[in-house]
Amino acid sequence: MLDIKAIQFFGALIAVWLLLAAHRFYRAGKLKKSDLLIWAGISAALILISFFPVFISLAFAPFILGRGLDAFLVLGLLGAYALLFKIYVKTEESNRQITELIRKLAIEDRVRKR
Amino acid sequence: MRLIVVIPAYNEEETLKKVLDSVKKAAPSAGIVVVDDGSKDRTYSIAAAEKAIVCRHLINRGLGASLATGITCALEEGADIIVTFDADLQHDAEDINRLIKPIRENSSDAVIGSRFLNKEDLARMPLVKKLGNSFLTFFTNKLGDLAISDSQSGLRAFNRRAAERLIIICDRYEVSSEILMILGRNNFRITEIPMKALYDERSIRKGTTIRSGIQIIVGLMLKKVGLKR
Repeated sequence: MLDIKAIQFFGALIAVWLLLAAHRFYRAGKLKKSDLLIWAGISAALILISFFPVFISLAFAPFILGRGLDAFLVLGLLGAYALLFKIYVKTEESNRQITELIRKLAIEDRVRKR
Repeated sequence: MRLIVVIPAYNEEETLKKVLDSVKKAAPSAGIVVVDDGSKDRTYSIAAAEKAIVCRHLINRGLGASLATGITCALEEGADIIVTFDADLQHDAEDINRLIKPIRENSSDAVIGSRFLNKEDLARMPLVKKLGNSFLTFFTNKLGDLAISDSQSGLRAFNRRAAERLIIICDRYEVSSEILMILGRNNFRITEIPMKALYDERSIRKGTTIRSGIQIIVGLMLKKVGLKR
């Protein structure tokens, strides 16, 4: 019988929440099918890791960090930084496009009183 | 030479009418472009009722975005000289003619009104602003290899050639430093003249704060290392 700890339940809870949120966004048309599949995959992996942590050790065995969980966390952190940078670049680009649009409208619709 | 005064305005219903009247009195032949930056108050209706061209941002985009809109609009209107002028009654419209003189005489491409060259006014500048402006000016001069005494001044004049090269990217307060850096990079002749600065509680509150000062520095550094366009 599995010896389940609170942290494992917490991990699984996050995974279920992630899956439900992704499904809700997909149904609302805010998420593509391919994105839904990616998030479903991440959720499934999270559930698997939560209940069978040994999988992390196996998956990260080639890394020299010793315990698999350490490698998982370090890589996760690096991934989060990469994601943050990507979001920053996208936000900057979106802001620039919004400003350009607002400017175009403002100049085209300018009011002139003589 | 056609002169157009660009006035960016965000929630300036209290002061805009007075500013417009003073500009019209000091430079009667000048065109005026008011950029309403998504104000929530009566700024737009006040500007639209005056003899001015009014560009309205549907949502607030910041000082830099407003200046870029105003300068683009002024160029489309055929401006030969463009003056940027604050809407919070901090500037004295009488300075406009002194400001554009070096451009009319073709001895300068851009003129900056400096609060730091007028010793009497400098004494009235709040200490926090004095320190903040000095620091930002030092930073701007270092990054742009410039020798300006007041990098955050909102009173500026450009000839058409310089204005056409001002591709402003920064939407917010970093714009003042950005403009100077563009002018410096393109080897335009920059002159500074002393200007009067009028301080009241409102203009102090609305000006560059410590928070926006930090944002300016961070924005300029990101721009310098290529993380911000």
